[in-house]
Amino acid sequence: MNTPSTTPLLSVRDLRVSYGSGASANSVVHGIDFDIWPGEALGIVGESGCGKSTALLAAARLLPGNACVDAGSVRFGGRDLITANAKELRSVHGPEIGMLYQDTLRALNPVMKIGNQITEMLRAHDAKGNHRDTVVELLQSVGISEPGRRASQYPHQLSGGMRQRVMTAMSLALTPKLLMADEPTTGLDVTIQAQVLDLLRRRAIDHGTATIIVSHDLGVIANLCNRVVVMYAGRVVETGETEQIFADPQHPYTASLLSSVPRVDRSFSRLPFIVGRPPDAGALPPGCSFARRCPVATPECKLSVPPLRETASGGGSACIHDGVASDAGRFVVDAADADGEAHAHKTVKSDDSQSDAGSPIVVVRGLTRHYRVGRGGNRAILRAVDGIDLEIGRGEFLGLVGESGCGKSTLGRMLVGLEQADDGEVVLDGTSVSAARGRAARLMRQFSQMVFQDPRSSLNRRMTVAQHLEEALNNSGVPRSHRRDRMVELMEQVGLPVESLTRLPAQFSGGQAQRIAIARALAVSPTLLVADEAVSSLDVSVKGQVVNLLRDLQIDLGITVLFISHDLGVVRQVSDRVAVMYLGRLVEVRETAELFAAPRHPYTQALLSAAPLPDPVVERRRERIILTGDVPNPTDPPSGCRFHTRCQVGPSFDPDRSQCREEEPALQPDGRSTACHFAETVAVGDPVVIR
Amino acid sequence: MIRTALTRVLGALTGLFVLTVVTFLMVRLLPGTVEDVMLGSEQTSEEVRAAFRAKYGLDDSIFVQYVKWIGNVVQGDLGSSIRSGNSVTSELRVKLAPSLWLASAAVTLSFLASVVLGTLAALRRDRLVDRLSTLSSIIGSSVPDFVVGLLLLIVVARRYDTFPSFGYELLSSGLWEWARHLILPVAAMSLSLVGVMTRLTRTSVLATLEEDYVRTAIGKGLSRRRILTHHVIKPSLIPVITTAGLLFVAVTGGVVVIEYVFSIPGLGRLILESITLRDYPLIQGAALLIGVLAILASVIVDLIHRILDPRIR
Repeated sequence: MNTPSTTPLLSVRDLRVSYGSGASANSVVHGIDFDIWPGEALGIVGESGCGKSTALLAAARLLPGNACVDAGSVRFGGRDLITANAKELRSVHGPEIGMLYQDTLRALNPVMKIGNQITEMLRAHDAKGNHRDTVVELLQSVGISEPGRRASQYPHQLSGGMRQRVMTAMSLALTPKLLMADEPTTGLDVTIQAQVLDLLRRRAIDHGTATIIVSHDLGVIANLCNRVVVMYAGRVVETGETEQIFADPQHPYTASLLSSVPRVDRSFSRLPFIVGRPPDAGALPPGCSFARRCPVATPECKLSVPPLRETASGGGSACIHDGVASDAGRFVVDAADADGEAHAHKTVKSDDSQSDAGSPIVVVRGLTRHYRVGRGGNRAILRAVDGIDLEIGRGEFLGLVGESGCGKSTLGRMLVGLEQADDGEVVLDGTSVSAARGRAARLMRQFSQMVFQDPRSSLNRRMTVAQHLEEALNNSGVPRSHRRDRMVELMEQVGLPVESLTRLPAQFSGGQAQRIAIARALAVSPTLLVADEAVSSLDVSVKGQVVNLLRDLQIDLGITVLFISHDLGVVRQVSDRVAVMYLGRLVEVRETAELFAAPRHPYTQALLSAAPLPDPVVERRRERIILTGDVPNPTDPPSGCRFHTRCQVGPSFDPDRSQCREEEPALQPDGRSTACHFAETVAVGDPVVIR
Repeated sequence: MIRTALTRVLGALTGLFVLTVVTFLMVRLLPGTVEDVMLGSEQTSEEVRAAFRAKYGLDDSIFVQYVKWIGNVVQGDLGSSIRSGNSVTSELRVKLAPSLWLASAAVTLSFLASVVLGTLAALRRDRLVDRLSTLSSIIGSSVPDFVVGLLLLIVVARRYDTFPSFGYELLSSGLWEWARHLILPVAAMSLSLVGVMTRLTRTSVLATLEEDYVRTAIGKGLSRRRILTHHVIKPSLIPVITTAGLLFVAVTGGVVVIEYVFSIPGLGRLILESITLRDYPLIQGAALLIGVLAILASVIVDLIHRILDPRIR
């Protein structure tokens, strides 16, 4: 994409930022340069902790109090924002630069009505017109229904997707020339993410707003940006046009990162990942900071920091070697494949021992969980899980997907006895455990264990790893004399050194902490492991390692895994079968390859279609199915097929299809059907380009 | 909002009921007959005793007694003080005013002072203002208020006639007359209150300053003043107001020492004296009154809390 103007809108030069002061100061951004021209969309990408958000906030002069810009300039509209005084900055913030943040529940004032949060901004900059009318118009323009009523609500009364729309409306209220977005869709469901990305793209086109987007999600970047800056350990390692970067990355880090993204359109035997972790910001190794993890590094790489050199395609890459990036990318994939093959050999033996593989180990019939919510006149029944029939085979890896609030976590919790069923039954290996109390509950806990999303809050920070395991082993009646050996074995199984046993959870990284949580779950030798968003908060390279670990455990130990995740890319790589849930019901349960190749339920199609691919060419060509609105309120699910209100092939597409409104489609428990009246007649689209 | 307010009032009424039951039983659990306890000395004539027994139906079942007693209480009849013979209600009414004025003035003024001091300390974190404010908070909350009271008496009241060293004037005798009698005792009480609430405000403001929404407010280009008032101070005040309400209740019944030091005829002093003299009707009346005040204050604090924080509505 060509740049329409010769002077950049914003120009960052040699920006250096550190946290803390004096001797304890930690440099996190080590002199970065980038430009953004009017009307373009620039993506800043990298693993967490690489300084991308810090760089963005520093450029906007919105760093927290403990951070400090040590050097550099940010030219914007004829002045340097770094040296600008408070009054100048106030005139820039809002009318010139709009900001969009990640966690909207925290980024919006909880004790102020959202309408007032927008009007105070209009007032501060003496905007013309009636401010209340402007707010209603703005909210309408970002697709919020009943804008007048919403304006007088507080942030916590809105859904996450709606809050992000409000935030977007606010950041664009004064039609700024530049929008800075820090992980704007992280934490949103793919369907809602697709809506927000669509909104941002349309606003950019309509108003010519230039956008800088910081994201760890390469799919989001490919979807929205025309130029990319790749950051690693506080430095820019590569810049260039999006198409060129994704098709032909020049820096080994970019190539490795691209290779390790779990994609919905491809399937690997194992998830590729970059070995190791980014260096700590305060203790950078000499030379190229990626050299330690780089498969094509040479001794020269460690001598001096490589400068950003211009590449043939007009971008820049900070690698002293030419044409090695593709090798690095291939290395990451090959290593994973080789590892997978090595594992496959091991598993042949264990397969023999499992004579009765295939018979269901978990049978769920008509399982229901309703919550009573609200008080007084607002009392209602929330149908979290509303009649689920499901069988999980022995040693199977079953993925469970759906938007947040669809009841997938509740279902998982019922399988480990953390929730009681209101109706229906759970049969674990032939034993019904619907009323899991007393002895049955203990048996259930021996049978099934759970791994949660946030390993840090699911481990006791005052207990060592050994104490965590000791507790679990004690509960499962392992004799004292055997416990030490078992602990060593567990550490080996999850790939941690034995010395870890004496450490506290705080001394581990997120990925390692999750391994400890897995070890604790394994301590009782469970038959079923329920992993509830167990890798969702982990960085892309760590995510791959933990997912591979779960897959290994399933294969080596014959454990059955229920893998709950909203990340379709990951689910595709590891699951044998996938169950799709919507509003407390299963809508489609099929073999993974079949489901991703030709999804049959319109909801599954929409989910797959919403997941962005790290491929700008495909992203631009794709016809996206963008579902309208949020998931309906589970206290009052729609009649008939619960999906009909948002369905792209239902009554809103063809009014003759009133059957959807009246009759609930059934899901046959044969593991291949789809709960849709028109699954057979609807031309199955091709939402994802399959390679 | 109306519904939650109603449930709160219902809860308060339940609390009130429990309170009356406890104070009612208090007298009946003491050794001796009820008329012995309530009428004091054994020298009371037989006629008085009989009249008392008849009035409260002391020969009836305990439920009937409670109903009769509560009927009298509602009409403002809490019996008569053993010592003075005056009705308990009138005794309490006279003594309540000074205590209530003292407590509300002390809590309100300290609240306002704490918000200013605590916010300043948080904004000038680790600088001189902060250090000074932290130091004085610690001193303020660790020096007993009677010491402060005595110091004020010695240093201020002895030199300046404007501030009398004892007594209380009714509001009806003039605003200034009334106020100048209250200034020193209020100051003595406020010191420790300011200490507690300043530190709470400082912590709360510091936590709020770290919030993402403050950064959002800066990123919107709002004036510094608007950011402070609407995005920093308002959310920070929620815990401080709750504490102020609780302190108010504690202070109303517990200002005995200050009332003694400044010779103010207040509720605290009344309670202390009636306990010493085993003036049970007065003790019972005072317990009931303070209980009602506590329940009232907690309802008000809760409602303010709900207005300030929409998340718990």
